[in-house]
Amino acid sequence: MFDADFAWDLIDSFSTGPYVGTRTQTSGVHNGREVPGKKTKFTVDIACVQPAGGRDLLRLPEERRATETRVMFTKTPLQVGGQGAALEADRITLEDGKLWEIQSVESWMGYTKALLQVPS
Amino acid sequence: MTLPRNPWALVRDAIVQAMIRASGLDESHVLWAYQNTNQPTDDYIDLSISGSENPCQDAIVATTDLTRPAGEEIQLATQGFREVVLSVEVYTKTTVTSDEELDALAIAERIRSAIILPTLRDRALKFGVSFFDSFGAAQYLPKLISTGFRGFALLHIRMFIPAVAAVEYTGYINTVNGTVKVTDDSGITDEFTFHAEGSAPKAPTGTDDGQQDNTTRWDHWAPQSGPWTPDTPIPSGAYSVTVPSGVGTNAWVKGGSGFTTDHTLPPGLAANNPPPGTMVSDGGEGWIIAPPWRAGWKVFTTTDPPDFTSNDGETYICDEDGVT
Repeated sequence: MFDADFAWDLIDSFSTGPYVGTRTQTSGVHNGREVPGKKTKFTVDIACVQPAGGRDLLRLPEERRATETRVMFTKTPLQVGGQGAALEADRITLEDGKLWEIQSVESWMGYTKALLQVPS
Repeated sequence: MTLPRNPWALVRDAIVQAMIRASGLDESHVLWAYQNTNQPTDDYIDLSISGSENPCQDAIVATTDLTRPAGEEIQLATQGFREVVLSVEVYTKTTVTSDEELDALAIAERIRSAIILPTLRDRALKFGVSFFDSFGAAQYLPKLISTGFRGFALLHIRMFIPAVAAVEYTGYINTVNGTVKVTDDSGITDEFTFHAEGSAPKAPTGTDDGQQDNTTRWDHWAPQSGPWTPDTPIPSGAYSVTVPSGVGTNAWVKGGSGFTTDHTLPPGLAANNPPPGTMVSDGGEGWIIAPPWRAGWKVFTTTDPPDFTSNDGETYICDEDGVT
């Protein structure tokens, strides 16, 4: 049986955070051009970031599987973009100083597993 | 309307507005392709321009402005138009069978028909955009994405748009020096040197009055007596300039910047700021209202200006370098 508290303790003990994220409202359109949405900062206090494994990569579209990918386990809800979505994909600054974009999110029992890539 | 040298922004705006009117979609669902943002919800239109052709040679338009720096008085600007293809990609969530008005092909066909409507064409034409042909078949290429249907139609529209203008500057030839050697049949050589001064109009000195006419401008700024300097205070009041006979009827006197209407105006002078140019005939008199800190006037004439005097007791002699 899954022990949520144990999972949380595990993430906490392996935490490599905290991290700062940027959440962006989806762009508006004026005269056919993108009008950038409002950006807000948020903090991912406890998160465990690891290199992505082969099975993780298979969850991504084929053209994204050759790109360097990280996996983040956290309790902070994260967002991916999509057609008609109110928010664009969250971006999180990792230790290397780069902005990594959320490509995939799985939520389960209040925990989030996200795949991150640097936008090309 | 006068388009800027690079009209692309206006052209794109005009095309988008035309497509909004033609398609019936709202502004948030008509956008240029290849932007880094989420797709809008269906139904929406992606626009892109390609295939720019130059159907005829561009013209060079020369304009002269003597207030530009020496050697750059003449502006040479290209002017022309381009024939381009506007690709209209229509994405819808509706199939052909569910609503005949909202499927992708129906919207594409509506756009094809609407671009010849006079109101739509006139609005676009104000920005130099002229739709003239929606050639070829409107392609209908719906697909299933995962388990979802997506309608897709592609329409190409040919149109003319104004070209981006390239600009360079040139000036007049002021002086030509040269030597010519002529040897006659007897073997005697004569050598001639020549020196030619250009007859081009000379840019006037002084403050630019913003005019681009053929008048020569004669400026003078002066205090009540002596050369004017910004630090020299002068009394407030009305000053007059008498233009002697010989100027002709095309002379006028005008107060310059800094003149105000805080003072009693002479009869017949409109209360504008700065005072308007006062037309004077031969021997006529122009009025200038002086604020506390500067006084002066500008004499415009199409003939060589004579000396003139003002009521400050000074006589001013005009030459091409201004007034001494």
